[in-house]
Amino acid sequence: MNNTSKSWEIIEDEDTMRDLYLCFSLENRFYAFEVRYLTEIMALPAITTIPGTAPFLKGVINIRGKIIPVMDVRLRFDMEFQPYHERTCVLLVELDGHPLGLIVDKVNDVVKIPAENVDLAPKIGESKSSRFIYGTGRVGDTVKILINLQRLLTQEESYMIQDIPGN
Amino acid sequence: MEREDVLEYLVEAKESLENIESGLLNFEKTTLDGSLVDREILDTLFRHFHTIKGSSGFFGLSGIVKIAHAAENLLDYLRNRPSSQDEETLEILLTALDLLNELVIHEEDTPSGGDLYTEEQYQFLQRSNDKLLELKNSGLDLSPNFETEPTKEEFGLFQNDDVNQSPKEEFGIFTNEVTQKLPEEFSLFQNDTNDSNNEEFGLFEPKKSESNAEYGLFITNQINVESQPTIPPTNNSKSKLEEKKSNQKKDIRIDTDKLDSLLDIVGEIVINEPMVTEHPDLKKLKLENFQKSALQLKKLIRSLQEITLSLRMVPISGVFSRMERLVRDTAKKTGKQVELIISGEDTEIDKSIIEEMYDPLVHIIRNAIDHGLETPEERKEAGKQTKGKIHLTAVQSGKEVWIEVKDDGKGLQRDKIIRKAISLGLINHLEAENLKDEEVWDFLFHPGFSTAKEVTDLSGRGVGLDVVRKNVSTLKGFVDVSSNFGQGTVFLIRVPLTLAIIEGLVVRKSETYFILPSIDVKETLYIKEEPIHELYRNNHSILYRENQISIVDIDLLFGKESELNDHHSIQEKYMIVAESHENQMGIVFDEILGNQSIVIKPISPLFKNINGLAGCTILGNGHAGLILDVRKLINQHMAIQST
Repeated sequence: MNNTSKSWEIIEDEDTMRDLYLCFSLENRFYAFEVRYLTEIMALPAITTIPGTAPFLKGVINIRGKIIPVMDVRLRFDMEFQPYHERTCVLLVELDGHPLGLIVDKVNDVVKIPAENVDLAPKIGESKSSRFIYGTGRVGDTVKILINLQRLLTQEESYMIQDIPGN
Repeated sequence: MEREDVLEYLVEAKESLENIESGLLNFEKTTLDGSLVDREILDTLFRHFHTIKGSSGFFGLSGIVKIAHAAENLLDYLRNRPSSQDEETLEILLTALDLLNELVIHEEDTPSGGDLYTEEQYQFLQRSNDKLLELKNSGLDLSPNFETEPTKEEFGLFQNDDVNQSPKEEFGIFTNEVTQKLPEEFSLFQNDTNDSNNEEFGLFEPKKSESNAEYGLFITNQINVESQPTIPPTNNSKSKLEEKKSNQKKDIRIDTDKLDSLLDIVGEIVINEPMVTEHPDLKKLKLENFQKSALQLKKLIRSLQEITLSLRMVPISGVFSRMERLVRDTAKKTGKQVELIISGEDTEIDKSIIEEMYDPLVHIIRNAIDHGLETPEERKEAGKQTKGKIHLTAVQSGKEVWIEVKDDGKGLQRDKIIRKAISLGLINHLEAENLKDEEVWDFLFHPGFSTAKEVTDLSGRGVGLDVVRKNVSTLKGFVDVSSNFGQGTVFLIRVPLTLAIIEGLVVRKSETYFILPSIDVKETLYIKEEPIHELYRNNHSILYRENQISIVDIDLLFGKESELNDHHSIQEKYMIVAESHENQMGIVFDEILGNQSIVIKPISPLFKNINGLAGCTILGNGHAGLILDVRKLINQHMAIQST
């Protein structure tokens, strides 16, 4: 009962995606980003490597006739590379209208994190990966690390994506 | 007003301006002949200016309205008094065109409400007003019979002027469409009636004539011609009119994104078709009827592909006609007499290529006038006609379009070019003796190579023929020059018909699929055991025919070591001999999968510094394949070797 009334609430809500986060995990940490960026979750198709590029950009994949670049989020966060297996997932996201695939270890669930449960990340240390993180979200007893997808691509890179002719 | 609507309109306005340009150039031709301008040209020009005025008023672009209105007034006066036409009027009209172009582009870049913004523009209004007054005053003693001449329709236009551009003005837009579409629609019915029972379709016949009559009101051309008994249309102009009508295309404007995605999907279908019809599961089965249907499907898919590709094809005439104005202006500046002869302007070519052709053509034609053609006096001395000729020709040749710019000027001077090449240190004296003509002309495409004695206003401003060649090469095309001393020079540009789909050879190297554009592939070889020579690490050569050519392993691209380092012979591998500018290189692969039509897709710019790749594609097996930029690979390889 409780569930149904909740879904009604969501439908009535003008912005049904608000405060919804997709959670995934890398090693033992839980990460989350806003669900509105997500377009699809799928098993990892064959990757075609592109020569001469950053290691975290694994290459391109074919999604129904579209060629989409994929990024290994572990590598982007300076974690160790883990070989892919059949349960490796790709999260297809859209940043400024441009598709990008994120390779993650495991997709968990979609949770609601209301704004009052979000704390901005403490600015301790200037770790390389800290710039991808903008805050933490409390969900029950756990804490999710909230990532800023826009920053996964460096500033310079996201400019370049906009400059692509015909994209 | 939505900004998008304005932008859309501005594209339309540009088209009208192009029409005005060609109209004015016709106008000029007749003016220079000394004959009177065709009434028909005047009407067309008037109509175009009027359309621009009306629609711009609708969008509140008051600057455009003012200029167009001034031009319209002059034209209207000329319509009533064709005898008062002179070169100054023509100049004013050309200036109006330039200013309108300027305003349209200005408005496109910076939305500013479209009012006049330079002194020159205001001065133009004054100048055209003065001219009109002058014409009117001088025209007073001529037969004052123009009161009766303007048609009703014209009056209606003038009453509105630029005070309020509402419904009536808008009709200007619709007139064109209505006249264009009607014949098409009704021809449909006509065919039907021919094919089948006349009786049944008889219903439509009276309707047809009725509506023609109805819409006849709006067909300005006809009305104007009919209501002008003073200048009866000659047979000549009548046939021209008909010709123009049959040439009028029924267009629909489509978002290029939509077109691109259609092209993508059709590309997918083309690639997927063999996956289905030649599916391995079917191989052992006897399926006669299936094969028949499959064949039919193949045929349909082929025509689908052809039609889709042709959607992007537009006649080259748009670019060619822009050259007329260029020739006119350049000739004027250099004081030379030039006639531009255009042929093959109906040749169709991919729109994206056409856009890239403009700059190279401008450069080559300016070059031909500035450096190629002699002055009238020189030509007289050389026993030629004082008027130089430039032929601009387009022909389709297989999967390429050849665009030729041929002048009958003084031709290239071998000695001069060789001297320059020596002074630049490109060759030494000894070599110069044995060079073939083509090799000498090729120096012209070397950066910084200009035989012009001085940098003129027209040429030598940094853009040389090297840029032309570079532009054309990016389109996978070639520029060549040939010349006969004293007789002229020919520039030949060869570009592919379309860039969207290419024929490619699909190959595999370990897990990765590559595509080599078929044009770049010279030969494929299966090599069982062939000795290879290691010149130094990662650089090998092999005996091909009588020559040693470099062979490379594509792994090098990925920053890996070449496999060739380990084995000193290639075993059971395939070597593809690729060629660019007569440089050959062998590339080693594991497997050759065959020829295929490939839809080129851009690689995401996330991947920086991609060298040697021209793009991506999706193969029949669902993998993304990498399209090799063979020319770049070879050039890079040669550059590394020579350093």
